[in-house]
Amino acid sequence: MSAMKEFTKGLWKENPVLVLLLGMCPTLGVTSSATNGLGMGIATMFVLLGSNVVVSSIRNIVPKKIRIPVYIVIIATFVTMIDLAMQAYAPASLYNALGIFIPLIVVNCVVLGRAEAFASKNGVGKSIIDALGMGLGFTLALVALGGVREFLGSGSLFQIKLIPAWQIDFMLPTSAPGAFIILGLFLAGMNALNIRKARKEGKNYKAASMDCSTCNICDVGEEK
Amino acid sequence: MSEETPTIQLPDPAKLVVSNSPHMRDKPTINKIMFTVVAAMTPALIVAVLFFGLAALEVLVLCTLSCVLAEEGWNKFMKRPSSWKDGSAILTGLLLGMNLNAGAPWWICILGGFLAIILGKQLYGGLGYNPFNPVLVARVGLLIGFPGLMTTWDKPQLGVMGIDGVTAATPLGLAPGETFIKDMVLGNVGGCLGETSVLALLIGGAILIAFKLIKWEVPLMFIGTVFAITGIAHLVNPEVYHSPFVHVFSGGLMLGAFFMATDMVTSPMTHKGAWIFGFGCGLITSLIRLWGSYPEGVSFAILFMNALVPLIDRSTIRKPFGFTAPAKGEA
Amino acid sequence: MSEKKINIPMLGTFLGVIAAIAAGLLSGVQAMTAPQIEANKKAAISLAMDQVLPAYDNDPSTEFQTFTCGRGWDVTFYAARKDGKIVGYAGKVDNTDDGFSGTVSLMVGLLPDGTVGSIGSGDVANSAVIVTAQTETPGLGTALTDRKQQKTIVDLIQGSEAVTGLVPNKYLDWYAGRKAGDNVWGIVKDGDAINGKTGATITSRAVCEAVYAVSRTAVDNLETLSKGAE
Repeated sequence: MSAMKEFTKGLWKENPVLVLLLGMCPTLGVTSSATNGLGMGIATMFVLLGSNVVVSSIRNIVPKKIRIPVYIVIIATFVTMIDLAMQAYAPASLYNALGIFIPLIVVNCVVLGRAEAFASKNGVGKSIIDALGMGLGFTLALVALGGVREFLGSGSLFQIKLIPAWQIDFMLPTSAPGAFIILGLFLAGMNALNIRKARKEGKNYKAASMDCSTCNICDVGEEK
Repeated sequence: MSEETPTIQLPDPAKLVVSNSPHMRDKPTINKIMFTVVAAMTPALIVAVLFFGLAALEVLVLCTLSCVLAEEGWNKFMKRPSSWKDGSAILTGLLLGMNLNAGAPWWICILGGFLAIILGKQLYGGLGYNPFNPVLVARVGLLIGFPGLMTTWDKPQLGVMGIDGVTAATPLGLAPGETFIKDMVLGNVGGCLGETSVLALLIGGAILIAFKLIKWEVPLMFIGTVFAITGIAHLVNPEVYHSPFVHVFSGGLMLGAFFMATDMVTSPMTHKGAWIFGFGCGLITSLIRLWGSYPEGVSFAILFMNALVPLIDRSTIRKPFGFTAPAKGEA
Repeated sequence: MSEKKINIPMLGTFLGVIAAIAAGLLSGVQAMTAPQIEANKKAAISLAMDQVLPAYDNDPSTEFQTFTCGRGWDVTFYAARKDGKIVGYAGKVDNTDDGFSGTVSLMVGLLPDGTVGSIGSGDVANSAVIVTAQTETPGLGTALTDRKQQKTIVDLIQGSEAVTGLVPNKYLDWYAGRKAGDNVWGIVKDGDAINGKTGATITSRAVCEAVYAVSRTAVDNLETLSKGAE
């Protein structure tokens, strides 16, 4: 795969949120506004970048038996750093809104998934590209989801009211049930677009494969 | 990641896709059924308009129009044949109107209509495929969406008819477990259009049962269970819990038990199933009313039990209903 | 897996080394960010005080007294002085237990006599009630607690300045000028004392009780308060 392909796969074809359905907890939890989605996305992208670089650079010296604990320590370190940094320098309102979801990046499947499936098998350069692509894909998906939810909820975007006459907030899109409904619509839209594209090219649409036989995230097939 | 292996195969729309039960049977009579239900609702509709005046009429008309519009709009969008003439969208609209406050702003009615038809019905594939009662999907969506607007009720203007709807609904507006400090009686809590007259709803329910459009077990078990559970709670602690009569005659119980829970598509097909379904609705309604954070639980209870209907049907069904053998893999 | 034998001490040491490096890095970051975080927390408290207190020149966060009110809540008063004279108190009550879905914390600006301050009345330019923490139903209960500035696209295009000071909230501003014992407090139609929101009765009452508790405690302990905490 070329570097460009490596980068863009995270944006659409293997988008961590909309295709791989990884990291659903922050996706559903914090995307009540576009700002929250952006903050969460960027924080995750930094963690992803840091963990991918470190995991990739020590991939040859980490004993296989303890690689998962090592990755978790690395990821947790970066998450704590981001947490402290945000507490110190990010706007208080953003930090409060993201709250518990920042420490929870540790268990975000996107981060561990990329460390295990990609960074541990590829060089530092490629891992950086992968982290940036995946991180950007994650961020874009979260901003899109947050933006749609915020707009449907109160007619505003990034806390700026686009429709001044919209006075009473519609709480459904910004509540938890709304998160599921809007995410479902996103997935449906994504499938519809892909199906239409495939049909134009005269092919049958095949969703990205996600079962255990083809996935290499947890090395099930490798262990002897 | 290998790109060649197909793992998720979307259903081919060209083939016949058999969804989970319940299935809408004998299609030719949908129209007749729908208009009979509308006729059964007429007493309650008339009472609603008498009580709340033109505002009620406006809500009902807007809801019906928006439902029909949403149905036709979706049909156009999905390139499906027009379907509003089967009456189901009209019925959905009328029922939705019955579930709203007379003073509901016009945009609530429009939004509700679209929520009911698109989110509640069409996204699942249209009439007969929806697992949840579309009207209640819209009502709950609006309730979560506009908690302030959806829990403010207009006061009926025409005195009391049938069984008192105003004072009966007031206690439910208070949080369960609260004693009645005079502080709490702020604003007069009425009810939504279809809730106020128990008598009119009973007449409608009788018509539905007489025409065998609904299973009488559902409302009987529903109301009976609520009466029994709230009765026990009231006996144990009359200071805290309202009398079972208040519970049975107030809120949306009658409307829910006769018109919502009994929806053909989303209620069990078997009689045994209807008993279980009605009991479950009553149980959850009572639990929410007595201990939940919402004063009213009918909508939530019915939606929850709707989700269990396939399970109830599967475990109570005795023989296949003339379907061909289930597809392979189905137990 | 190439190695058949598992070298546990080696694995343990490796993991230990990684953890040690991580710990070292974290302590560095912690040391770097700690002063800023501390400053942020202080700034948040003093911002709240600035909002409810009239102009002062002392450091109220160092001069406080705590009383237990009739409801059993601890009410802390921070004295604001100008030229050594007390110009007002910031009464803080945390985690009152009767909100709709949790606790309510708020800060109330009081005049020296225990009256709730008002917005824009001479000396007490900013005095008012702000809710510092709550978990009420968004859109319903929060209508009674939030002072949120809403920026619209129109403001952005016209480039109008953001409102400085507190954003008005008619439910919170209602308390301005009220004093425990002198005025009618309540959320019911009690004379002219109507301050509640239909559908959010419990939140209305929770806020009212908390503000009342602050004013009541201040009035009851005025003498002790005016002596100041030394």
